[in-house]
Amino acid sequence: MIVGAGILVAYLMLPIPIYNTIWILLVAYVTLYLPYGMRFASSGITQIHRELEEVAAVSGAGLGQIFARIMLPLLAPVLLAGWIYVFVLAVRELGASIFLVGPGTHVLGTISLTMWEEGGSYGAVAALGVIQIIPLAIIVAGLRWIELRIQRRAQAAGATTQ
Amino acid sequence: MKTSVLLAAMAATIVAGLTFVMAWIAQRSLPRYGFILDALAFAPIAIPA
Repeated sequence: MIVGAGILVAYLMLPIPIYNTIWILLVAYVTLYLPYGMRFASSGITQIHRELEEVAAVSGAGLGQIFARIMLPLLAPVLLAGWIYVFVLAVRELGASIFLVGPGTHVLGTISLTMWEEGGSYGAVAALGVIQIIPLAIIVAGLRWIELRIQRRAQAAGATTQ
Repeated sequence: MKTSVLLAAMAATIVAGLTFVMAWIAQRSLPRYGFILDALAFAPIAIPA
């Protein structure tokens, strides 16, 4: 909520015309959920030893190649888990978006608040909650399935090389 | 609904990409001062929600 108010004031003063578009919401969400992503990525990178990158560099791989062919496959499950976490948190976000939404850029949290406030119908708000859950559950289930497949493939690869 | 899911997907993608690079730089390229970058990325969580 404080982040939302701060970003609102900041972008009203700055000459960047993103107020009343979805980009200001994107700025708020990235600011809010950077720490969570950082915890995921940081712990993931800690688990991968530096030697792997050194070996790749000695074998002639460039920075981009180390990134794409060594780090990314090893970190894919971690990044995917972080992605799912941030995605779910961002869909249900209300505190910051309540300051930043405008006509045409309403998000689910503010829609359900407006429905409750103006209509006073608990039934409609509850129905929106259910509608919100269903696509979210499908997306998260699909991504979890991909994540498990990556992990299983990595385990199978490890078993054959040992 | 569409706005919400689209925004969440974009935010999650940016956060995942950015933190990957940041964590890598913090832990590999700047072994001594990397903690500053780490702390900087961790700061927004301290703001009262």
